[in-house]
Amino acid sequence: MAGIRSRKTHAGLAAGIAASLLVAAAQGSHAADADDVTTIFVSDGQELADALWDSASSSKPVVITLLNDVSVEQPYSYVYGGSADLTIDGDDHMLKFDDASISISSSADPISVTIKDVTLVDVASPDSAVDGDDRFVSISNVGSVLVKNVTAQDSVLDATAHDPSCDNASPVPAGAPAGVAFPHGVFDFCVDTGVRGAPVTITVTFPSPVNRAYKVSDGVWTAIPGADISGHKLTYQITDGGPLDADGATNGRIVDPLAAGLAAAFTG
Amino acid sequence: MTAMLLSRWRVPLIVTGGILVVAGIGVLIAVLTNTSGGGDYATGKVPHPGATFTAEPVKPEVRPGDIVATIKGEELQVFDAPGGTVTRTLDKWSEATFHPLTLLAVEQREEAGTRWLRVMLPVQPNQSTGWIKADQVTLTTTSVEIRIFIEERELELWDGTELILKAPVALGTDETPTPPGLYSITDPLDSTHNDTGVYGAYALGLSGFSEVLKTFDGAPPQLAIHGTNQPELIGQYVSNGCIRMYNEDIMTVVEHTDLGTPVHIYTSRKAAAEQAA
Repeated sequence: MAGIRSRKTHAGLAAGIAASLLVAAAQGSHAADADDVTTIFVSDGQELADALWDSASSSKPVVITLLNDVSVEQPYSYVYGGSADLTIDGDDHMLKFDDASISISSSADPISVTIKDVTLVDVASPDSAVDGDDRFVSISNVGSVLVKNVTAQDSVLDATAHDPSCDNASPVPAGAPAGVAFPHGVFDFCVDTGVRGAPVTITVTFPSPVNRAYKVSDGVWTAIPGADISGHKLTYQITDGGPLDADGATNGRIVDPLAAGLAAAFTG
Repeated sequence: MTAMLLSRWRVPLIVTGGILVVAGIGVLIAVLTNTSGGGDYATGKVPHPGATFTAEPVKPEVRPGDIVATIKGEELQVFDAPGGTVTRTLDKWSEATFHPLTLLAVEQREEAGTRWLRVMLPVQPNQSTGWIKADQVTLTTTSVEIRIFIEERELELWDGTELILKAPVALGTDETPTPPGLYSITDPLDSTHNDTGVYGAYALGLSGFSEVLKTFDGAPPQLAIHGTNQPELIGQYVSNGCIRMYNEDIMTVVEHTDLGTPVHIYTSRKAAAEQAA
């Protein structure tokens, strides 16, 4: 199981982009089946839990949309174990974690998971590492993860209080390369591939355009080779145990501190 | 360090009683209050860039800073005249560091019930202007401005009539001179977390460009005011056109400025006074 977590290093800058997800149906929620997708609208934590659980049998891609702010809390189980691609659309609402976690995994082939337009609250907070509460989103056996317009609040992680399910995360160097700014901070991605040595495609959309992408290699920020940066969107591929996997092991888990940067070529 | 931080020093405002352009008053004050010339710090290749400049200076009818326009939508149409034809479309984001497009207005007009602004464009050639519709932008104002005097190799930061900072700078060589003109801050780049690069602690990209370089590092040769990792060169003509400052000084400038802050680059204090007159 893997957690997607955020680490914001520039406290004064808004726009942290991180991870997470959620939602779905049952009493009060409603679903709409188009020809090629199942859409479920949810308005509270129970509906979200039900939607994730019930949609696991869907053969079509599932889109769960928040109708308002939703709290993820006990006693519900927030589990998605389907074989269809899943999208959690926050629709600009908040998803609050309160002693509960969301787990997404594929029961068959790797799936694509998209999390967008949501503010995650209390996700993998330092407290969770202390008291053992689960307050994070875990994703496993996915082929790709898209994180778009996701902001994390109260979820700053550091080396001494991080998600224990991702405890191989490498330390992030202070600062940034000379002449480069990290306007959106630094983010951790931990993804369980489900298969040792498997590749995962990461796509992140930022609030404003960027032109550089870095990860940690041998303790220093290193430009990500082959990264496709197009305006707001950054896409790159990581392979479990490959040079961009910070834990350095072919263990079915990719640990990937990430920073999108800005560099400029002023005449100097 | 020879920079003078003059946070509380107020300069008497000379009231002419006429319709003298406010910018002119500012320049006159700058000239009258300067007594140090360029001799306070190390000199390198001495005066002054011998290149000629192609851009015609803009003569603002609105004091630069009184109207600062920030884009509202995803793009902004630029017209050749109020109610005229579209000549170009500007993107929401600035070219270098992707900040919201912010423009300096130098003239305004009312045309058939529509308010139009003539703005300085962050494009080549320098001093290009165009007209935009005021309802397409958010309008703010600033009393802060930066004045740079090439011959004296000095930068002054003013807030109204208050001189905040006077500091030495390094400027362009004879081969790659710093072009005079009216510009504004468009592209901040924060490097305070690692000031060992050529831009030092911070760079403030400007709306102007080198007039001799075609490109720089594969990009348009955009000017900037920035810090440095070679402080020993401050006070000399050594750059590719950018304005270099001590890192402490650029941070003072950063503290007081914002997107759209006007930047006046004059060939000399004397030329500034003549231009104001």
